[in-house]
Amino acid sequence: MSNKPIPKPTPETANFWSGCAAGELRLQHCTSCGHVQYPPRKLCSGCFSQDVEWRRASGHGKIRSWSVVIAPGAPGFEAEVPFISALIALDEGPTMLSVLRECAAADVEFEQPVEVIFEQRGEQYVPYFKPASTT
Amino acid sequence: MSVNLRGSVAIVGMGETEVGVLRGQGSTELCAEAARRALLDAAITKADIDGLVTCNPWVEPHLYHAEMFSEYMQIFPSFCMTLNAGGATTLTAVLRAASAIVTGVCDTVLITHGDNPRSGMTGAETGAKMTTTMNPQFELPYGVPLTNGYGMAARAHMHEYGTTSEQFAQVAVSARRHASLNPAAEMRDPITIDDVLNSTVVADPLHALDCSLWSDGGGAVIVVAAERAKDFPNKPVYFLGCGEGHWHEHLFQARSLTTTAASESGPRAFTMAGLGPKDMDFAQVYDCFTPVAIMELEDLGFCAKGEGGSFVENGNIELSGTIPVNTHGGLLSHSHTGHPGTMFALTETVTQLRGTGGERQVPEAEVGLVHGQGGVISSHATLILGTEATL
Repeated sequence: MSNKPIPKPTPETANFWSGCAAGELRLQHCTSCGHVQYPPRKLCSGCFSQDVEWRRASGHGKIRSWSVVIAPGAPGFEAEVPFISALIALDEGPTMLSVLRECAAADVEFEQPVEVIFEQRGEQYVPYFKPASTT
Repeated sequence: MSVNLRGSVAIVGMGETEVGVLRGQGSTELCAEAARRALLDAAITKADIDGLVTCNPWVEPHLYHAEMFSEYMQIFPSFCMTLNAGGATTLTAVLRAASAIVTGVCDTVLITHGDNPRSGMTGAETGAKMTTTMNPQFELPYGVPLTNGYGMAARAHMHEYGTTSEQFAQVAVSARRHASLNPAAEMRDPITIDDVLNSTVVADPLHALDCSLWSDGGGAVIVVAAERAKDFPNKPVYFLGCGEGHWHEHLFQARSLTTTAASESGPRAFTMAGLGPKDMDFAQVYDCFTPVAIMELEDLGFCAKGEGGSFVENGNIELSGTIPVNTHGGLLSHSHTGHPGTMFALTETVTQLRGTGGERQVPEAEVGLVHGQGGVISSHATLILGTEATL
């Protein structure tokens, strides 16, 4: 059993993590100002309204930047290095830190389309990304 | 109500400990030793201190650090505060000291920092400590260290502006050249661009020599009202302007990967000082990683946005250049003591304005800028100091 950190959902984030367990990325949308936010919050960080609702996200985004990890920043990843850390601009707007899989470091590009995949971690599922399937 | 702090206070004392590997000296001891040296420099005693600002060290943190330290030193201040803005802490401390003095809360402020992350922690302990600043649900589960965050910002700058690894390397080479002239610096043997490019890639595109040192050490300054500044033995260095900018804590929440909040802290400081980048005789910028120094030089207005790479490549940041940068050697070659790191950029600024920089002295230095950054390109603070002639 890996000792990688397992996310501990809070009431504020539980819907995000239950979405991941259901195989979908969920984001909060503000019905007052239209702002889409990540990570989850009780309030809209755009207008401070309480009118945030959960919606299923497309699970698609583009690479904003990346860097290959050789020395992991947490325990449990020793067997996975090198791996590609990436900042991903989701199609809905917010940026996520994640890791790009199923792709060689030399093949990563700026604006590369990627799609979400999930890794089981204890009882949770952590969103990772891979190059988007061509349709 | 608005009070202009320009020229209101001055730094009249400074102290630096040795830096590097200081086995057996704890964070609190280093904090105290720096304070002792600053008091000696200002020719005052601890009984004269009625304001105290510290920062929390990594090795011996305390929830109420400044209170703990005042107890350790047996000083009993009317203004006592612990600040935590990473590498911006030192300069935010100067702004708060100035505000406290001008509003009559206290008269004589000791700002002292010390830490020993190099010898007081194992590599694993340092790594574990660093993870405590990560977002526990949305960063930590990926095992991505902070260094790769800087790597991603560096790569974005290369993509957006065509900046090269050679240009990043130039920042390290210049810092080392300055450190070679500074007997107090930790790393003094000159290096070349090739040395940087041939050093191990630690978080691409960053090489080992693009990264700052990791050191033990402490530093301190004494701040008083400007009208008292000449009551002390050393040449006073006056506060001309200070500004801050705080945009995010975690990199994935950054407004930009390539433009920093230095683009706000700098103009705020310049406006208060009534000066601009071209008026500066030198600048100490935060060089935890070489690309950060380039971004800050752009955002502070020393060159146009996106031209930082060619700016450093053309010799502008050398001692003989248009704006000598990190005259002590910076975090890259003088020392990086963790949160106290920027204190050495501040004490170097005081040294330069006193004219006591020895071989690395910038001729006729009258006004200088010092900039600090905390987090992952997160919190920024800019301070402008000058001699009496600039008041």
